Amino acid sequence: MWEFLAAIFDTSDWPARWRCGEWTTLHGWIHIGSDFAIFLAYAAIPLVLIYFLLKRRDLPFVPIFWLFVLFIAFCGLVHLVEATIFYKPWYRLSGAVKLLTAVTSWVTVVALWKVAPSVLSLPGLARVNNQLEREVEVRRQMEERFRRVFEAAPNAMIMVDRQGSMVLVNSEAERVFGYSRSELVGRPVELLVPERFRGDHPSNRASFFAQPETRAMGAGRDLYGLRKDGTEVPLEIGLNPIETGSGPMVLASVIDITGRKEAEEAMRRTARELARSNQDLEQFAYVASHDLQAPLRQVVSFCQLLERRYGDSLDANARSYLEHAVRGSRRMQSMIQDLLSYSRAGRGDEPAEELDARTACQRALEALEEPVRESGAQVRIQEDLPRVRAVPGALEQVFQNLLANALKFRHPGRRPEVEVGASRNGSEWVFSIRDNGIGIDPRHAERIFGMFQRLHGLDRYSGTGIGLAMVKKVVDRHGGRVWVESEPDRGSTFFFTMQQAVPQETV
Amino acid sequence: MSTKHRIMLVEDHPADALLVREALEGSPSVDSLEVSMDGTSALALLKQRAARGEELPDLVLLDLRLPGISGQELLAALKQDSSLRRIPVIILTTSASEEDVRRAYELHANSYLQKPMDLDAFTGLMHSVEDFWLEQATLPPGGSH
Repeated sequence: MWEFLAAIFDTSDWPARWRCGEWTTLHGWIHIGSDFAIFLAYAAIPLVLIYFLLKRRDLPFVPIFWLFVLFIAFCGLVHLVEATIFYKPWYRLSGAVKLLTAVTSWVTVVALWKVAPSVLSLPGLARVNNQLEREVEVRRQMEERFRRVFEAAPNAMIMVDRQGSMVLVNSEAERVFGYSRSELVGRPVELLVPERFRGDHPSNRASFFAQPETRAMGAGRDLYGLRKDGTEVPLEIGLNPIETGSGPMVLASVIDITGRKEAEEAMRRTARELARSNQDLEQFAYVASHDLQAPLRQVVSFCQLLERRYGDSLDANARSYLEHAVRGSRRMQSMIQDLLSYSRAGRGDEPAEELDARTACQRALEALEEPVRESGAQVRIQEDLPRVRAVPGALEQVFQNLLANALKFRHPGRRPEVEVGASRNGSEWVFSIRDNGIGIDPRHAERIFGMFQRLHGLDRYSGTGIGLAMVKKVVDRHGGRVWVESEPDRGSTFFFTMQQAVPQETV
Repeated sequence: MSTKHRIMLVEDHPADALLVREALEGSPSVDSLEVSMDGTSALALLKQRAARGEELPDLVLLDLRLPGISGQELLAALKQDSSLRRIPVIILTTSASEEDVRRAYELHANSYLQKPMDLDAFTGLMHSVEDFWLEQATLPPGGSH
């Protein structure tokens, strides 16, 4: 090693440069001076670069910088050796330094070539500035948007910091609480809490910050706010935790529910009134069943008693008057009874159940055994009548009235035929009861569903005319419709709808 | 042989009371038909007789709608009184209300009859009462017998 170094610094094979060729002093010193000056400059540049590297740790392409440091330093060394060679002819040293410089330069060239694409893609300062400005603008717009949303929110919005100070409020908050913005910002939020809840509020807030999650405030409790004028306002409050530059905050979204409370109160009032009117109706039904019938019975009984005891001394006219009095009273009694059943029908105080319509129809038919036999009617019930939601007994009542109707208004010239069927229409079933009876003039299609409405004289068809009214009431109560399609002298078809049974998914 | 019985009718309608009287007129098994026009005085009368050991009716026919205490209240009072509760009480009313029927039997009525509209039916019903309760049924021994 030592020998190798000694050989490199060996100067014995060549004369010093001054003695090689005809040098003028000026010419020689231009070389020496310039080489030395270049060496100094080339030594200074790497130092400056190193200074940069040490000061700016965020510089990109650090290895390239180091290559430059090395390469420029070598270049400097080449010039230093060139200068000294005028006195010391160490051409081996000169060759070695030039070789190292050459290698370093080419390594630098290759390295530069490699990084060139990434260097080219580095943003210029102007571009960086532009981008920054754009980002600032976007952020400003976002803030503006947030501010507008916050401001325009239909709810009162109040942002509160950990200490309970109001940081931000919107105009709805001003309206709800009756304070101006400047009177609220910076003040403790307890200002808006009625006295009786104020004590618990700070600890509630602390527990919210301990476990911040979006939730409704005071679940299940009625909340009130305190307005500037000292009145209280019913509120619904949602709490949202927000992470901000100045620490965690809670954003309270406050809804003034005065209107809702009033509506609820109005609804409760209506429900009470309805209950009272229902009670009145019950009372009426009770009165009708007792008090209206008792005097009627007395009229009938005493007319009959009169006829029995004194009939012999009465003439035919007087006896027929008595008969009319009795008949009228009887008719009134049956109307009272029908009115009672009408008032009881479909009262809706029983829950609807899933029922088999076929069973209901069969039962209704069994109850009509006598008129069926008497009229020799043929009644066909569709095999697959559906299951529907109805109050037990109600569907049967509907079928019974409609079937009784079909049998009653039969055509004198033919054997009655009645067909019961059902077809689906969306979520409901349309039931049909078709007969071949006397039919109904379409003019009366609406009227027949009214209470005590009759189309025929009592001498032809008996009854008070309550049956179809009852059907309509029951069907109405089940949310359905009832109507009739008919051709006079050919027959009628009564239709009514019922909601289909909803399959029970889970019990 | 037929024993004569006493019947008490609690009924505020004179017309209905008259109908009952007409129906039971001349019956071999009815000794007397006493009519009380309201529940309060009927109860007072019965309690007084029981306290004095006087003769009590063998059967009470009771209307439900009465001035003062109602038929139901009178029924409850009779069935709670140890000296009166054995007297059969038959409800005789216009009401067909299920609630009234249920309530009457809950209060230990001995039967519930609805007054028919027709005179013949009414008379027939009274004769059935007379036949069943006074002829067929064995009644408890009277308080003063």
